[in-house]
Amino acid sequence: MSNTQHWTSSTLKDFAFWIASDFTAQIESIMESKPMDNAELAETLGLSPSRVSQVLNNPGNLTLGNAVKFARGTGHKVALVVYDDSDPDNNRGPISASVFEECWRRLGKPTEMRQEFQAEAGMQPPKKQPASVAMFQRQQAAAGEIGSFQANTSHSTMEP
Amino acid sequence: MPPSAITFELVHGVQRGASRAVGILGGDIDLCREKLYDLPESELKYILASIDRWTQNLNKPAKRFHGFDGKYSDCFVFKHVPKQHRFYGFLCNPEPKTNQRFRVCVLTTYAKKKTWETDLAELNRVHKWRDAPATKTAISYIFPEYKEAHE
Repeated sequence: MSNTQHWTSSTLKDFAFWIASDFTAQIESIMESKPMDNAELAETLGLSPSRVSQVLNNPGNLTLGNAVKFARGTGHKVALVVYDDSDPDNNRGPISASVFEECWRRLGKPTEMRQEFQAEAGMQPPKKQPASVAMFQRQQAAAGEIGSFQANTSHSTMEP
Repeated sequence: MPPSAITFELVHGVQRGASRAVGILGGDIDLCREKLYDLPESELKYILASIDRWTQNLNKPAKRFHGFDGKYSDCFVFKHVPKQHRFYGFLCNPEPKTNQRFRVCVLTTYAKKKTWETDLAELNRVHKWRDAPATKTAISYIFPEYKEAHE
């Protein structure tokens, strides 16, 4: 292992350990800020305090189910974030989920993708209806039937 | 005078952050370099993950790392509480001219500790190594500005 390569760059197992450790560090941070000790969290989760300690102290054994359980036990939710930081060989190591969480918090905790974000990410929904749909609408409008067509399709083809 | 046996390096496998990095001193039985790298794999990874967290400018949880107050405000510790590992060090800016916001935690010494209470003897040991000329020389091999600032 050299200083130019992050310690998680050689094996997926190490990367997974880092992710799990980052998760348990978040839970520990939340518990410190409440404050909440292992016994209280154990009671909330219906587990023994030793089992809680085991999960928090051995990140290598964390399961997705336990991650959800522990997040919910502290009154939080959990997300798995896939990101591209222009480091495909992972020479620089992973980015803490706390960084993502803080950015999300500073954006006002949005609960859905904002339109301006969609545009920047190339995810903008089509502004124009497909030509075939537009042509069909024009034909139906001419025939006086556009109202019923819109009612059936507005959820998928109309901009807000 | 024989060359100093004290060594300083950035912790292997951990990236230098934009404003924080962690280094470690070795070359003396009292210093913690060998102790860190000789930890069992899962315990080493736990400490490295904590170091990563700190270098990414995250200051919690205190269960894993924290600073101290007063006379020891430049001291710092990375912990593995369940395994009772404590890696103590001091914070410094080794690039005072060119990068004033940069901070390095220089890990110096190790202790096995069962209690939460701060052991001042450990922090005094950190200061002893911080003030040693050999330490300044070792750090200045990687950060030349460090010795100039501490002469």
